[in-house]
Amino acid sequence: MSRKKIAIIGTVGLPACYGGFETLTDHLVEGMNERFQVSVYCSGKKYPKAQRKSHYKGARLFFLPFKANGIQSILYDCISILHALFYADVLLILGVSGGILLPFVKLFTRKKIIVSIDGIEWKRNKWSKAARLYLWVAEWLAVKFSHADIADNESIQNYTAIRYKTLSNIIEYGANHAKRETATAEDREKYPFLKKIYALKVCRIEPENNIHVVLQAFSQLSNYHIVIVGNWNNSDYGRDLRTQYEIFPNITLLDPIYDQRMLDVIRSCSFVYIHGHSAGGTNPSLVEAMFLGLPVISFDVSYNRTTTEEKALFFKNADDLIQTVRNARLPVLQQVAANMKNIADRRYTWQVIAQRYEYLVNQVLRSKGKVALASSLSQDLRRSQLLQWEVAHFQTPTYFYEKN
Amino acid sequence: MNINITGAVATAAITVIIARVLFPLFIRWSPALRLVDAPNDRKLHRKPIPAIGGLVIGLSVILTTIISPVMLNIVTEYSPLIIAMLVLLVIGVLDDRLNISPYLRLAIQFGCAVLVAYNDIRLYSLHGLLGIYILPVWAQYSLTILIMVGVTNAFNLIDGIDGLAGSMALFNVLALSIMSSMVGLTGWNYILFSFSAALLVFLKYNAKQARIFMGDGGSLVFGFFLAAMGILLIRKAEAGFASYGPWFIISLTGMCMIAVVDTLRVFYSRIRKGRSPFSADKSHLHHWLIRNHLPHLQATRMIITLHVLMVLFSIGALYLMPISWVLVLQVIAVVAFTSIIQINTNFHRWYRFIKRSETHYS
Repeated sequence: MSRKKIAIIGTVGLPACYGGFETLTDHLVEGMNERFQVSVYCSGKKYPKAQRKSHYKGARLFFLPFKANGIQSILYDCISILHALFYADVLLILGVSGGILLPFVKLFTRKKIIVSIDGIEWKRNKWSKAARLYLWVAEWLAVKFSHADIADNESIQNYTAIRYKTLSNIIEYGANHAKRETATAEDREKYPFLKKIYALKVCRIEPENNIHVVLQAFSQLSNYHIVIVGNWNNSDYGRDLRTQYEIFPNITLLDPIYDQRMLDVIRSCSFVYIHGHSAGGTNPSLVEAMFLGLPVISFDVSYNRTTTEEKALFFKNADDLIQTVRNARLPVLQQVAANMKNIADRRYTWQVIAQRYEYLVNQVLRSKGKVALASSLSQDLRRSQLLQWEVAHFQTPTYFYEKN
Repeated sequence: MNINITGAVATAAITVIIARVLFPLFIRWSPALRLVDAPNDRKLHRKPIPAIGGLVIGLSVILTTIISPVMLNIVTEYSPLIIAMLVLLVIGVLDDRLNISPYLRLAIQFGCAVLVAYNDIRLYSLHGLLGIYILPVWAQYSLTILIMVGVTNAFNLIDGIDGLAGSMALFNVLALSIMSSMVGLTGWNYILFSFSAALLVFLKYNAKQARIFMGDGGSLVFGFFLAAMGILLIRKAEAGFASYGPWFIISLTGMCMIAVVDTLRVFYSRIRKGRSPFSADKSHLHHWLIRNHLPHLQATRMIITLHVLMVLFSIGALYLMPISWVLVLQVIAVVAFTSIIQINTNFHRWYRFIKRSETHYS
């Protein structure tokens, strides 16, 4: 039997040097290329001609002259999908921006479609109003017209179950590419704070990552040192915060660090990890911090709670964070760290993630559609009719565990 | 022409004075007359509010007519149309007071339409719309009556938020006065100006935390008037100004389009849900905007902007394409606007849902 062909669509490309999806693709290719023939679509904008390879770890690479993010991603995804229709058996689409094509693909071809909806992008304030409306519609189409969809967090599974009455598959991210590194004398010279005890936060400088909350709290915690690494010069928000808080001796604000080892050193040496993300989904940075065995103090939203299995420490606002930091005792933090490591080892390794993707691909190849959570009766008949025949309980969605 | 404008403006000034006197008086009397709109779960206001806008506008214009010989002339010349409007005004006010059965109301509207159509205010030609020119007599009658009754009720249903029906009527009346000047119906300008003056005063009381509503008396009359006057203008264009015909038709359909398409959409969705098309609910375009947490005036402004732009663009589009295409584009414009509003409203509903579920987990 010939190997089934999979097209991975919607990432910046391989070799991975960008975000979560690219690292994921790298590990998927590694895990699946023996049993499947994998093709990956890459953005020509990020890979100049000289750097392009035709194959990577056994996967074919296609380069398209579009950016993988922003408005161009719509075109990028759509053209990738159209191209993949010529050969692939399974389209693995990461992100929903190509969702407008999926009704046609599903209705007119026999290709199997798996969509990873990647957090709740349409809620994020970083996009413009029109973009959010588009993403919202695209997500609807993507979920309705795919054979399986992937949510990266249980809280998102709840949302898709309520909105679409179907069961999403949860597959998170891996973290075992992050390595524990020890600081050398040279490192300590370059970053003197490595000698001290410090809290760490690594993130994009955006309001939804609650940097202002963390900084406000630590400006009142003069005995506790915090290091925040991020792209401060990217926005007015970042520049304003930087000028406002740079003067505090216990606050160190660093520009992005592209040296992976150096970043791992700074992460490994930190005492606690502050996670301020509020955007929908499982955040790769949190998962990596957990894998490195750092005690996590996380912003209190449902996504972070499910990612950490509610075993991290949580804060809702600056006062909360101040209290949490002041009250944190070493044994508690050690326990939290151990729990985080435990969870990450169990759930967030790329081997596990790649296996789950492969399982899903096989499942989709065999089955016809996705799991409906409500009886088909409730879709075909009106509520008043169901009530009249005393079968209104068919409207109630079934429990997830009955379907898995 | 100049003298005519001066006279019309003077008439309008008189109407303004009369309306400024009548509105406060009637606002004070309306609870005693039991002409108030009581809040219920469908209504967007909390306190009972006088629904006498149409009545007072009508009274102001009638009082102005008594002292204006030009207007008296018009009234006698077009007495069937005026009588029909008076009947509708009375029926509308009675409906606000007594809740007349919708079928009786429909029958009376039908009667009014027949009366007007019989007195030669009816469509003879579609001027090439959908490829149709001169109509046979039975089609003249049925189409005229259908349009009049349809537009009347459509305008009645669009009257749902502060300032909407009033400003739409104001724009339509002004557009009608331009058209009637173009075909030499200059006498009508007196009445149209008088109407707009009364509407302006009404809007002052109706805008922002409305102290007064238009009521059925107003919306029925203005809807009927728009349809009848529009058909009259098309008739006049046929008799001597044939080249204006298509322009008039397309402007008039533009003026009715939002109300008509929205009514058809609401009726369709009600029927599909297995309910009577006349059963009231909160699914009109303005309800969708309000559900989006838009202040009334902003929602009104959005709909009126669409209304005005649609009329202007339709006139421009007529240079580029056949009249039937312009009509299709008008329908598409309203449908697209409505769907964007609906998508946006659903988006916000889910946005609030997600926001809540992020922090209120079980």
